[in-house]
Amino acid sequence: MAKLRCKGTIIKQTISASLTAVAQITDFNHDGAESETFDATTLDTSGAGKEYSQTGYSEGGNFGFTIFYDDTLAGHQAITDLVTTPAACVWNITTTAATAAAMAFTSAGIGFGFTGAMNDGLKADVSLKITGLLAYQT
Amino acid sequence: MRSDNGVAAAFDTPEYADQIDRSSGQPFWKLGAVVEVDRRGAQLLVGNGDCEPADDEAEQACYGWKAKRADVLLSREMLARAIDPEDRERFRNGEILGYDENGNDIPGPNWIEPDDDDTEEDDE
Repeated sequence: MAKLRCKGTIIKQTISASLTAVAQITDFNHDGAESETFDATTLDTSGAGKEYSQTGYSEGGNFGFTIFYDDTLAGHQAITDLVTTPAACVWNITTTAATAAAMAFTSAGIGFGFTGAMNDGLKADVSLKITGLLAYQT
Repeated sequence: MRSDNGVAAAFDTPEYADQIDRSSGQPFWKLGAVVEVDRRGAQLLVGNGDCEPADDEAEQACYGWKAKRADVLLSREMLARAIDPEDRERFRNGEILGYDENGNDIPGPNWIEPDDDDTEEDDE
C-alpha cells in the first residue's frame, strides 16, 4: 500500500511512430468510467427497491489534463493536430508507483481550449473521449 | 530515435522487430532506430526532440531543424526526467538533475543548499 505522489507522473501521447511524454502538464483527471446497467425492476419485484443489472458494457469515460500551452512546441502541435485532423490516438499514463506499468487508453475524440489570465501563464485544457476502456492495473 | 520513446502500436510490427527493445516489458525504440513516417510525423518527432532526420527526404521535411536544437533537446530531456514546470529553471541552471524515487531533488553541479530559513524546522 502506498500513497503515490503525482510529481513525476508521465503522460505519453502517440506522435507518429513514437509514444512520447506530453510537456508542461500541471494537472490531470480521469472520470466518467462506469459499468453500464439497466433497470431490471419488474411488476413482481418484491419490496420497494428498484433493481438494476449489468448490460455487459462499460463506459470508458474521459481523460483530461491542463498544460502550460506553447503553440510552437511540436508535442503540443501534435495535440491540436487531433482537432484539425480527427484521428484515434493511443495514450499512456505512468504513475510514480515503484512497479508502475503504463496504463494505456485510446482517445476517439478531443476537446481543446486555452485560457489566458493576467496573473497566470497561457494554459490549455485538453479533454479526451476514451474509446474502449483504460487499461487499469489489475 | 531516442531510446526512451515508446513504440506506437502501428509500428510494433515484424518489420521493426530488430529495432525494438522489450527488456522493460514494454516496447521501446532502440537508440538510433530508423523508422519511416509521413512528412508531418517527421516534423513533429524531430521538432519534439524525439528523432533526427535520417535521410535527405526527412531533412527537407524538417528544414531548419538544427536551429535552436540545443533548446529542443534540453526541453526533451526535462520531459524524459518528468521535471515539474516549476523546477524547469532550476534544471536549466544545473541546480537539479531530476528526482529520486521519493520525489526529492537530485543535486546537480550547480546545486544550491537550501537557506537556513528552509532548514530551521528540520533543526528544531
